[in-house]
Amino acid sequence: MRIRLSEVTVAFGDVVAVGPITTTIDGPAIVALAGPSGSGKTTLLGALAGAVPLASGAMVVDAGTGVEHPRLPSFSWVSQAANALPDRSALDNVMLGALGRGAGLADAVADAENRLVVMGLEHRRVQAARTLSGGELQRLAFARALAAERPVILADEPTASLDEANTRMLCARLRDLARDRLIVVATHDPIVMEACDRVIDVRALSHRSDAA
Amino acid sequence: MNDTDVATGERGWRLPLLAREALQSVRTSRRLRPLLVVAVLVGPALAAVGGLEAIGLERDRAALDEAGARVVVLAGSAERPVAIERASCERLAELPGIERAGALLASTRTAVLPLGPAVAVVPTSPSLLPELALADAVVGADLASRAERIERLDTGAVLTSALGSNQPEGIPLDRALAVPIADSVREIDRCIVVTEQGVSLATVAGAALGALTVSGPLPVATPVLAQPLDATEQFLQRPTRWVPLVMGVIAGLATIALGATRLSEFAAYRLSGTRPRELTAILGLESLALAGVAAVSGVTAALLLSPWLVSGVTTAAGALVVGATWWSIAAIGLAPLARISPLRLSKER
Repeated sequence: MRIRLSEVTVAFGDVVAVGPITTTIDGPAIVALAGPSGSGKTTLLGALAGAVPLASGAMVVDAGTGVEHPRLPSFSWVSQAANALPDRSALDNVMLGALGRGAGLADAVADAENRLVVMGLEHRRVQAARTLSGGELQRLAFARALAAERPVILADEPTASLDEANTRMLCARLRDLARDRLIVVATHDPIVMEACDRVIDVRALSHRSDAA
Repeated sequence: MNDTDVATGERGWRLPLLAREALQSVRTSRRLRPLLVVAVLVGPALAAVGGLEAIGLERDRAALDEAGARVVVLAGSAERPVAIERASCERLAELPGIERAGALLASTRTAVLPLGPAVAVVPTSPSLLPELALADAVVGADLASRAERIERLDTGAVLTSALGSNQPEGIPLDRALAVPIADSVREIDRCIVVTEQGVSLATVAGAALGALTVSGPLPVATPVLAQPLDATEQFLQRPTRWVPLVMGVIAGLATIALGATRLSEFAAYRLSGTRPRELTAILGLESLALAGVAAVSGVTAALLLSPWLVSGVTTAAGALVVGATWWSIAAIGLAPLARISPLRLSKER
């Protein structure tokens, strides 16, 4: 997976929020879009998702098939809010990923159980999502993203509401997940940045081209 | 559903699993629980409305009956009096659609113990006042005498008596003493007919005129209530007929309003690959399940309580209207929520 950004600029009206940025993001890896609040890291993440239009420049995605796309054909998004179905079990929540890609019920259950194990949530299998802690909810959101089997996971400030212990636990899981997929995380958390293969300083990059 | 997405190559949700998801959601979601309770209560609510309608209809019918809505007088005019064979008039009570029929003769006033010094005594056909079959005389309901025996001071006759029921306009016996017409009376100048509930006054009157044996000019039928009102017609125009529609609209709008508080849940679907039309289907099926519970609740209540309703079928149809309206409004109103960008949804907590 390779995402190439060429002179990408995102603007809201006349105000340039990000860019121009030129860089290449390669996966599998875990890559941080870092910077302080207001630096435009979430905006850039939204641009990668295709949810925020580019004011100028171009994005080219090569999913390894030799065919280039102007946007990510498929990705999962994990938000700071760790959205979940509060009254459904952790298993039901994770099953959504497999069901959404057309899996049958038995396959979705088996798949979700595996994902819960990967994210260390197997003991919460039958518990309603509303009873999970913030850290567990974030891991649940990643488990669901894994179940969707998308090659790219975009995560917006996933540790914003977590304490240090939960942040480290989540980072350890993300490191494992990044072995065979690209994970792009918008963050200003130094613990997360430490866990990443690469850290892109969005504010600094907005003022120079990066050949990396 | 379950067609392959061109961009991702994914097949999407399988249709039966979409339905399962919707049912699971309705079964477990605390946010949907108030709607589920409302859906279950639709049946009792419709039955209560139906019960009140039945009480209202009965009251209206009783008021119309009291006003003489079912009484027709077959007679000539002052200029053209008619002679009706008494027996033919009394036989009208056997015709379909006629509850009772017979003659009332002119009253005489006399002292009756213990009723009073000047009681109106009205010779009456037993076919018009069936209580006359139980006693020698029937005391008008307004006289309210419980005496089992009374004495006519003019004839000195001691009679057994029964207390009459209230009579409608056109049969002025409530403040009178009714006695049987003497056998010697063969002809009368007017015949009174009381129709059964719900039959056409005009049709019955026509049949009655045709069955009378008359000498001289033909009598005409005159309803006691100058402008007869049809309680059934009034019932069909009742304002409460809109209740099921209003209930369905309110429930549908409530479902949309609750949907607006569930954006974080919708985000969970959309962020895990559920497409807008699949989420639309899940929400539509959720609404269908809720509306279905409402319809089943209403139909069940209508079936169980039909003896106390004006029409169980009408109440059951009302339940279906509630369900259909509920589902239509909710499905249409929730669809735009399913199309909100997943990234925007993800900001909801």
